[in-house]
Amino acid sequence: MTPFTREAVEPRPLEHRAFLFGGMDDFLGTAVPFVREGLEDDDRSVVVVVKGTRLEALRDHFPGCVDDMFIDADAFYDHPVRTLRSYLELVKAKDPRRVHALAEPVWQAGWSERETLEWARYESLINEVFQDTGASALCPYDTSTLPPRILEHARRTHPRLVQDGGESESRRFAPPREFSAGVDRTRVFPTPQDSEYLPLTSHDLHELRQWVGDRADRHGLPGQDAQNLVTAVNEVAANALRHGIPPVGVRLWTDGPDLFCEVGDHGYWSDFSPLAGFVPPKTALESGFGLWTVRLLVDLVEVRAGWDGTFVRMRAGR
Amino acid sequence: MRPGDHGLLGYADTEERDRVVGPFVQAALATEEKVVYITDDPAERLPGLERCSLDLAKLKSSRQLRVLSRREACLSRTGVFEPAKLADTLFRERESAFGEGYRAVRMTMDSTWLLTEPGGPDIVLSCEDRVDQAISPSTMAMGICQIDVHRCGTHQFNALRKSHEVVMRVDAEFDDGILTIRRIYGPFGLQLRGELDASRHSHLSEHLLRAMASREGDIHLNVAGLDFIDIGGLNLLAQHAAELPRGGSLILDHLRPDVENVITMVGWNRLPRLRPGAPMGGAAS
Repeated sequence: MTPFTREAVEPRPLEHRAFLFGGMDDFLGTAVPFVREGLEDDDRSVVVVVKGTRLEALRDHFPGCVDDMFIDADAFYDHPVRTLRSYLELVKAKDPRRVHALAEPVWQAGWSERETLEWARYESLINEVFQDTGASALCPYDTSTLPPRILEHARRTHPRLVQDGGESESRRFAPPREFSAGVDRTRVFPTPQDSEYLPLTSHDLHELRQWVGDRADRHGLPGQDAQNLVTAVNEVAANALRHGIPPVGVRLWTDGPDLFCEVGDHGYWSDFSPLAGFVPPKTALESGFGLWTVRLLVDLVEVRAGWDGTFVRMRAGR
Repeated sequence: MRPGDHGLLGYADTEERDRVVGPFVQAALATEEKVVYITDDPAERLPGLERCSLDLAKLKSSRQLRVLSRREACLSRTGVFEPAKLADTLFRERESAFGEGYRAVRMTMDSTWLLTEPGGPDIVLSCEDRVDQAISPSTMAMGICQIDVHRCGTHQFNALRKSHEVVMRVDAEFDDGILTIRRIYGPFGLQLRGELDASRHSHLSEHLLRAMASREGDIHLNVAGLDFIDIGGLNLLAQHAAELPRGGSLILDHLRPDVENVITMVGWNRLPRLRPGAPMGGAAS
């Protein structure tokens, strides 16, 4: 039996820092000592999630290290809600050792403002989800290639900054709830005039599932993605029928490769939290499990809880 | 089941047998139909007759209930099974029913003892034709051949299946055309077919609680025919699994990959005491 030590019961604070660097030398100058510090501490388990060339350079510095310590960032950062879940699994798997991560989020030039914001929200959520795990995350941001707005997100989502060999408090830091609310405020929410509409009058959602499934197939969504969208829309609709105020209905439209489904009702979701459905629940029995699962199943979920009703928009792409 | 049908019931335990044979016997006695039950057990211990309010002595004397011993119905003087004698018995009982004032006759026998004897399987298969001839051409006869699947083995049972037009099973507990819930016995639990959504949660909950109340230990859900489970359904299963007696699990057998995907997505670890059982197409343990 493991002795019940003081360390085991006391919450261990998270260390979450943005590392603003320019060029490979600057990167290695901080990254190598950070990785070494983790390797030398028996209480820590090192994970390196960075982009291609930097991953190779670090691997060369630590030839004796096991291969699964190095993870390609492009494969790890595929979907903000799913990545957060996987990251949490990783931290749990390493417990009682603390995760010591060099974690470089991926920012694609071709992303929409919305996608960029959802990944910035992911960075912000790290502060909430890992707050008592004792993990240490150093998140590299390449100042020579990233646009100023992404560097601004880095300052807003990390309580501390590492730059030019020094560390300081980030004065621009916003607590996760505040940052997330800000992300939600930037949404545009018009619904196209030519969207299809299905009113929901019965709790039996068999017809809704068929209606969404047919359109997802016709749009060319791969089979599992189509079924995941059906499961997501079904859940949001069941919730609207249970907690919302009629009339309840679903709008559906397409935009390029994307298919959108929006469930609306006329109830006011008064205790809506900007973190709702982002923090992974411990079990299916916790409240928030439904919305979290919906967020896992589709590409993007946007909630608007306003005076004129509650609208949940789901997006799935070909 | 319709007149002329000769059905096969493979049962995993006596509760399953009683839930098929009991209503079969009771429905006959409640109307003007005759029951022929070939068994060495006394009438008051038979499915549908145990702890019932019927006057068994009166039913026997009016010949509406015929409980025939194996010696009377199908064994030779030396105790050897005689297929011809069985066929004669069935034919005679059927023919006399009309004159006795009954509009139909229902016959049943547990044939497990035959199958477990040396050479038994071949004898049973060869006499199925004769039994069929005693029942099928008639518009007023029905028969159920009972087999204990555990004692006869799956292989032999499957051979018998081919010689029976109708395979009997327990009636569904719930069926609204979208979701079917049926009690299963080998392994014990429920079979779910179709689609599970919020409007059907209360039905699943009701039948799951009943199943949990009647047995200890694990409960199996055969979900081979389940096309859809909603997220609330996962929550419901986790809630009930939490109420199982200590150590018990809710086991999902034959999950289809496209349905399992949502569970893999959230992680089995978020569904405490729910676990995957037999793979799709595989045998349940």
